[in-house]
Amino acid sequence: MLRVLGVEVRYNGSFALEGVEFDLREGEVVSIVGPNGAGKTTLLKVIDGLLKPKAGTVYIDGLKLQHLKEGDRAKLMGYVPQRLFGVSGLSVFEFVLAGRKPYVRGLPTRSDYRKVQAVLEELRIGYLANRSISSLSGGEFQRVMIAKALVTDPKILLMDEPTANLDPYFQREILKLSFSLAREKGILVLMVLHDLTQALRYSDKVIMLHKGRIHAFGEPSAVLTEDNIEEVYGIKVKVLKDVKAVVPLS
Amino acid sequence: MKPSWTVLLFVVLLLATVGLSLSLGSYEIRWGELLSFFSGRLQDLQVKKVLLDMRLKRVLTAVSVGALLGSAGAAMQSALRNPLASPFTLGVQHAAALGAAIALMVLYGGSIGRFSIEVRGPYMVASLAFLGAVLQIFLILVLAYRVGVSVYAVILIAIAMAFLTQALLSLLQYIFLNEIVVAAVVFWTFGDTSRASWGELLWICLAVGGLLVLLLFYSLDLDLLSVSDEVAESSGVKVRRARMAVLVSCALGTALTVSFVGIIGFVGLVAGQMARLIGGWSNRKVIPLSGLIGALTLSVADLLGRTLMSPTTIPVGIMTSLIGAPVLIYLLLGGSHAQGVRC
Ligand SMILES: Nc1ncnc2c1ncn2[C@@H]1O[C@H](COP(=O)(O)OP(=O)(O)OP(=O)(O)O)[C@@H](O)[C@H]1O
Ligand SMILES: [Mg+2]
Repeated sequence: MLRVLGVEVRYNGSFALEGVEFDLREGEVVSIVGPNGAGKTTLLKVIDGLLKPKAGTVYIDGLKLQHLKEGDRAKLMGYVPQRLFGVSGLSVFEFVLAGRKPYVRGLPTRSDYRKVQAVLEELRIGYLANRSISSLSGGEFQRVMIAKALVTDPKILLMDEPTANLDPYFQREILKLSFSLAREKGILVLMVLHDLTQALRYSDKVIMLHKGRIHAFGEPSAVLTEDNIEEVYGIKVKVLKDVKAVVPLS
Repeated sequence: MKPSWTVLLFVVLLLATVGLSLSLGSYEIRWGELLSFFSGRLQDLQVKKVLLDMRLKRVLTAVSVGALLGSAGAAMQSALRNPLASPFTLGVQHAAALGAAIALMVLYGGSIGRFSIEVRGPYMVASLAFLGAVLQIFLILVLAYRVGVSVYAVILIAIAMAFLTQALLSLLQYIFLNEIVVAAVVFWTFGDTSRASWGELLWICLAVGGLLVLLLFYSLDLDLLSVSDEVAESSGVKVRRARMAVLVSCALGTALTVSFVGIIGFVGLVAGQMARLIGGWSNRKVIPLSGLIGALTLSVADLLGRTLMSPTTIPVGIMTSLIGAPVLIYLLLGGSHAQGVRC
């Protein structure tokens, strides 16, 4: 359902992505791991259409991404950015409602309002509806961003470090949510994770990026090996197979 | 207070201001006469004439121009993520005024009458005002996109441009030293609601209606743009096109008001800020609310200008500047948080 072919991105001449290719199916949870600056955010932006690659193509359901209309692309994919600068006094409800944009011509209707309410309930943030988005804590904001991404009923959910600002409880909630979205709704969840234990436990596949290239791709246990992690991150770890955990040594 | 009650309060205040504006003045008209005028039973021809040709036209001009500037101000603030944006602070009004003045003076688009400027080529004046306003918007966009300057810098550069415009107007005054030029410069520098004709008023009303429909159509895009370009683009907004469409339409509406009543500053800025304080940030609500507040502000300023130093009338543009300049200083001092468009 999502195919990335020979994608290449450069910023001011230096490669941010080079020869990136993979093929993902619906209903999968896929983690992207790699050190800072490896190109993870860049890859998500290319898939969401926010960045045009220098070379290569993204196919969604066999259609070239650049041939999709903006609105259709936005219906297909929800994107949760890594961070957001800026101050907007928009309320949580209004912000998520604005996410319905690709379905709305002119003014939103009652069905849009109902959809927003339902998604807020689903993520258990109904109580935040009237708060301004710039007044939220990091974790609350993260969940609001996910709500906005889900409000179009996307087939692909792209999340950049969705667990970064969350406490351990909500980290697990988000990961479980990803899992159930994938299994129950058939959504392809593609997320950047820095916690290798989480990647090992909660994903069907792992993409390991290193200096803009795919270092390894496949089953979590095949990708997240002690050797791969040492090569990419330069740290020694122990992978505990029985409890599925990656523990740094020393 | 709940926003809906505040809206109701503003509507009542606006109606009261309109009523007062109709009745107060050097020729006092009683409320009873007003009632019979509106129910079509007024016999007194002189009262009728004063009401129709002076008061009613004037107050409707204030209401419609205020509504246009107010809604344009709120929309520009969202589109540029700049709480200081407005037709005035972005220099759009000055650019339009320069265009209009050039049309009138250099191209001899009109001649001066005893009390007013007779515009022979009204379309040419409006066209050049449009041109000036749109060029100014392009300048602002280039500043925001290419140079990546800060929110404050955009405003300061626009204000510098306004000085330049004023200087050019004065220069024209010097070169062409004649009555029409002097009158034209004064005309456009100090906006005055008494100038619009019924026909021009109709145009302004049509522009208000058209602009409101368009801005509401773009209201979700503006909500998303007020957060970030990336968030908007990811939600399917054609970022540059939407921003351009909104800003250019606001500029065109503004240019129309400038060619008919001159520069009236600060209304859009203050209305947009107040609307956000009261109604939140959703453009669906803020834009009409800001239009309402703009209409109220301008009609109150007009009423004050007409009555404070009666029988001398202070042009409404001077009144709004007296009120608005301190507000702008407060905002520049950091009364509002600013982010701005950058790429
Ligand atoms: N707008 C930009 N201009 C220039 N270089 C950029 C830009 N955005 C990213 N880069 C560079 O491209 C490379 C990849 O960046 P990217 O943001 O994709 O990394 P990442 O894997 O998401 O890192 P992190 O874990 O820190 O979020 C980095 O070297 C970064 O400095
Ligand atoms: Mg990143």
